[in-house]
Amino acid sequence: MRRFFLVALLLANANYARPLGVGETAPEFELPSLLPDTKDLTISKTTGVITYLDFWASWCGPCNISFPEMIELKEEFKNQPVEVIAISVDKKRELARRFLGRHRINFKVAIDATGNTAEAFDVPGMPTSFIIDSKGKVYSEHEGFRKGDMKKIREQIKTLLIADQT
Amino acid sequence: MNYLKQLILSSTTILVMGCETVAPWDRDVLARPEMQLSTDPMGDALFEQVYLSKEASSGGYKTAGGGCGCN
Repeated sequence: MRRFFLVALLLANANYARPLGVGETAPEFELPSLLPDTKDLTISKTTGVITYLDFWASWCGPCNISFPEMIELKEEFKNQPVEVIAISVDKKRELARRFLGRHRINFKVAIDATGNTAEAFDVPGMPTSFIIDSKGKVYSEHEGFRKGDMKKIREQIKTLLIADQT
Repeated sequence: MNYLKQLILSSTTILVMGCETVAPWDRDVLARPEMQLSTDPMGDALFEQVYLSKEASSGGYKTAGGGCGCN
């Protein structure tokens, strides 16, 4: 009897989600853009570019720190095969647009109101970013955002760029 | 007595099975200031400001992660 309850307790708290691991193929998605006059965003297995993919939300405090740094990142790699994509998980577009209005966005922004794409990537917290290599595989994952994190991200992108050139 | 023990265990199991982890992308409501455990958010902010200034450090006041799962 006791064993039954122990198993029941374990099953009740079991988390079946498997984190998206480094080296795994990034899930494909097609999401509506949040910026005016831009097409829906898609990512497929054979992108041919290095993608910095960031999951964010208007209610996420650290996203206020990450956005200006992402703008700088896009500016730095604007002549390289590097794509910066931010995916909002906000349920309401207005909230995401209000947040975007506070920044001079120079990268692509999409919205995942259903959370399906965030679930496919098994996002552990807000914000979480992924570096996806030119073959569509996850190179690294960064949970949260602190000052100085972008230095490491920049180095990883540069490493991938060098690897692609050789 | 045995009956009481079984009843408590059953009730606990049923209650625990009702627990659900909120996905990080669904924590918008939990991230609102009014959803924090504190009853005095302004007082807490003031205390934190004074504490961090006195300690000349930041990040060591409490554990990481709020309702939004932010670090």
